[in-house]
Amino acid sequence: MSISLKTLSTFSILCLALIENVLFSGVTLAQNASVSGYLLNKGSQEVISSGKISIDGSSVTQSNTFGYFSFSASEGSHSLLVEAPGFLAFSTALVLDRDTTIRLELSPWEVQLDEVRITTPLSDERGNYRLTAEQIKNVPTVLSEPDVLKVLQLLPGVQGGTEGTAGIHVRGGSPDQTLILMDGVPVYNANHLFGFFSVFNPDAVASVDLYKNDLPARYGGRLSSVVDITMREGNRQEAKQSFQLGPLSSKLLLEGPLKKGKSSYLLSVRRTWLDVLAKAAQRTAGPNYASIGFYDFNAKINFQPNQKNRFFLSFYSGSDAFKNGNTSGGDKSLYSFRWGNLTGIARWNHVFGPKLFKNSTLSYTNYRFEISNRFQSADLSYLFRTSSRIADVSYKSDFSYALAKSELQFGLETTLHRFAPEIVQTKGNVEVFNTSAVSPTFVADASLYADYTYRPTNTLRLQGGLRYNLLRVNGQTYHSLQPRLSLYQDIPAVSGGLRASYMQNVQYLHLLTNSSLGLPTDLWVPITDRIPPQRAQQYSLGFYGKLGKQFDWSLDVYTKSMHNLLEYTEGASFLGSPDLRWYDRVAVGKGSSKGVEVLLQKQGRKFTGFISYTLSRTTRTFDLLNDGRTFPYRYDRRHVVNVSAQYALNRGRSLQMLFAANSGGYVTVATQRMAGADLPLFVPGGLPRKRGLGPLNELGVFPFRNNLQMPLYHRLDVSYKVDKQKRRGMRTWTFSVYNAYNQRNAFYLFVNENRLKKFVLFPVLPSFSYAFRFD
Amino acid sequence: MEDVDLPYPPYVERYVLNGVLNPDSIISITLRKTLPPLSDDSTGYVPIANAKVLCYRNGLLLGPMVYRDNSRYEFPETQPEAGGVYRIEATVENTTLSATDTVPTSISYKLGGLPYKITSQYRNPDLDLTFLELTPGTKYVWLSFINRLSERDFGDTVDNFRNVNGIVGSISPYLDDFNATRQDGGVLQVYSFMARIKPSALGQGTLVFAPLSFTGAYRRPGTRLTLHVSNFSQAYDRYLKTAITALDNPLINYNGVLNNPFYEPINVYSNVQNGLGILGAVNDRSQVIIQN
Repeated sequence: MSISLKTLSTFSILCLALIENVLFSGVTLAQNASVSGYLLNKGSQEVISSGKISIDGSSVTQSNTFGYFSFSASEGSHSLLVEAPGFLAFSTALVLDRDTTIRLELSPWEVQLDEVRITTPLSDERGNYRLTAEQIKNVPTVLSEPDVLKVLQLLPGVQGGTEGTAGIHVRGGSPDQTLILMDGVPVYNANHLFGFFSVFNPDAVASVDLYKNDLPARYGGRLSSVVDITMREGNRQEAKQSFQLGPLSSKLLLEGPLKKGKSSYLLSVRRTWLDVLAKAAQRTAGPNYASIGFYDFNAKINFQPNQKNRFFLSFYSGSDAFKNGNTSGGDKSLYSFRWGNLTGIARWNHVFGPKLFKNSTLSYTNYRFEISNRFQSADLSYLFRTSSRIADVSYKSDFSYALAKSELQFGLETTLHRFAPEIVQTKGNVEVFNTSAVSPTFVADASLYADYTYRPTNTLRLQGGLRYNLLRVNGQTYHSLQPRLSLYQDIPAVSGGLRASYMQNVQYLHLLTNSSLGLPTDLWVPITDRIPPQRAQQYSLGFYGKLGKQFDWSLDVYTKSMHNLLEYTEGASFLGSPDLRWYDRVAVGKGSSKGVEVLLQKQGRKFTGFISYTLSRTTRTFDLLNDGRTFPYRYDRRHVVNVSAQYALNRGRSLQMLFAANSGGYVTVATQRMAGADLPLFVPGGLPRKRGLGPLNELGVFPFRNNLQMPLYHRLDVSYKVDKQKRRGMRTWTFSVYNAYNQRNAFYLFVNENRLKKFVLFPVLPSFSYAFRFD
Repeated sequence: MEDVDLPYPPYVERYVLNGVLNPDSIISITLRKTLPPLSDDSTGYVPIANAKVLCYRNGLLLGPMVYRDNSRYEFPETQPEAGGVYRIEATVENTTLSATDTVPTSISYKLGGLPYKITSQYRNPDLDLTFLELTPGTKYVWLSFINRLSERDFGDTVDNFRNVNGIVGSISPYLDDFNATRQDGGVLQVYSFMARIKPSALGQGTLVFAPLSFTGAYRRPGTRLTLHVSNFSQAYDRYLKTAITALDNPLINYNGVLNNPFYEPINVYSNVQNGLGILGAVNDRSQVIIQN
């Protein structure tokens, strides 16, 4: 790891600023008063995170994940402004003469249908993004199934993989380089239905934060970005129920107070029903069937006995299953493929005083996949099962300490990972020579971090963070120091500002995948003595501002280098070589990415939306691949444009539109065709043959990896939503058309019958859904 | 599925040298040109008939090879010797291709039968194979069967016979699973048409396997089942493994149907300098197991 002198110097300045603030805080406090409290949703009394609080026109702090905020201001009269995505802004006069605890409440704009509709910028001044559940639901999607990760794919610097899938690639990184957190706990497989949908039920989501510009030091373990998803707590004022029927799944959500104003619960469940129908229909037609389906379940309880303490219990369970049953004569076989996550989280918030806040989290998360095959006949039965499992037990404590003109966040995290990939079990009356059970690998992971934000003036903020990581696996210990630095300078004259950041990240986990689909067979594996940790460093510089009252814009440039990336070697895939251990099938290399990202967002009463554009170049270089020559990353798309717009008609009707276009990614195609040497002892007629030259007469020669750019991709999605207040609640019909003009986009390319061909997966796809939310 | 028009990477013609050295046959190679990947040329690969091809053994020139037909060059009346290091140099216009390989020795094994059957729908005889005096990791051994079966077993009414490739079935951990599929999704691994023994498993224990064919096919007079235990050079082993992987895992199969959406393009191993192809070597031992 290399840390430049300049980086160290800047970091030293921030440390000195911290010392100065701590040592002289008593002096400062003689002139200032602390203001602390919670920011709440006025309707449901749920907390609001990332709410921006400004005093006299200058931003002073943001509410944290738990809605808590704390800042200092001089005694006297001030104007206070509070803003949060999805809520009406609130302003009031604030008179301070002592330390004060206040409770701030914002009204969600969704209940102010006849009022001026206000949206807050998608991007904050740091260049990170915040999405609300409403924004997620307002983007048309495949089969009317709103999806958190697919909306993130529309933002600058973020893109999806293969069409329709939910994996996200941030600034040239692979999907595993994004840390996806659900209530602060990692989710290893965020995919339902082979990656076409994510596991997060939008009804249970409160907010989604994407960090890609500067990663606070409290986050670590991934190279590219963090998606921090905060799940809703449940309405603390009144019980609510809602359900939704869609072509893919049905959802039910129950929430309400356990003790009004003190505690609440939220239960949400989502399940596909097509699998049940498909299975029933196939069984009616015959004994054989194939089906796929998923469910997910979220439960959350919170309890606030007093203003200083708050407790949360969360539980998530989600699973997918693919089944294929066959019956022939007296023989029965059932092939099944299951994968899913299970997470349990306990959290405790404690306010030590107006300046110090703590959150402790104890969590357990478990991801597993299992392939099993049962066979039963009159004289034979057996069970074959392969499974892989990752289980983490984790504890962390996060503190935030508010000082005059600055804030310190610090904490620690310890995790014990248990990896058990590639387990094989066999049972039955079949003689077995060997079972290749693999002992699980335990990895101990500990981190310390500190993030310090210093505001020397009303318009300048400096932030320095440092994360120390210690990891022990197979008797070896690895250390890393990951510095994070950023600067934000408001420029009031142009209603904008400038930002710059630098970060180093280390990733100790690798995801082995050879597919752009979210396959459950993707393996998470720890580093070994042969596979080093991934490392990356990124520089970025950005500008942002307003154009009039309705437009926000931002422009960022970045350059990122990545080291110790993994790729499967040629022909080594999970399907092809189950006999090989994973580390015999991979190559280690490096990558780089650089780009320009532009976001233009329109706010307003009737018409809202945004345009995002990314110009980027991403490459990979592996000694063992492509003869060591640099090649384009599979998803190196030079230009990516997304346009999302919503138009509110009268009487609860609205139109939504999404246009997406991008340069094609890359695939590898043969540059020559040749005849190879025949298989030895081969008897003609035993294998498929063409032109009488033998079975190996059509071998492709692939001297260059990713040597063909796929065609331009573009499509238009539209949806029409009708809300109507009924006697017992709000009814919503949504009609969507995916790929409205039936563009024949290539899902993949291939050569067949001497022609280059494309496979089109998603033609025009209309759908509708029905939702009802009880009053 | 639809055609798509895209600027395809430029085509550069290359020369392909293929040859397998086997002590059972004379030294021969083929020389051909490549075709563009999208070529609809139905005449096949263009043979190179005017090359100057030289053959060396243990560093000494044996002499020039003679062009016969259909891209084939031979070194007349000379069979490769086990342990010999052979080098072929082919000069085509201004390009000289070269490749070197060593002919392996044959290996010793003991073949027996087992009283029980590996579970398979055909219930064919189980065989056990024990290798003698082999150090793990030093040899590249493959198994295959040739069946001589009556045309009656293929629905014909005459008693003519023809050879077909047999299939190896096994649940042994000693076999390399790279080309294995599970029969009917069960535990029995089926290796079409050759099974590679893990080099690290050689000399470790007894390998149990079964020839899979039609039930009762071997009872008919005139039928025959022959086992081949082949010792390959390392280069040929690598070629075969990559070639079979490429053959078994196309994105689209010969009928134009999606075969393996998770496939990745694979380059077949080549030891030819300045060209493509393989000069491999094999030493084969065969044994007739059933003959009626």
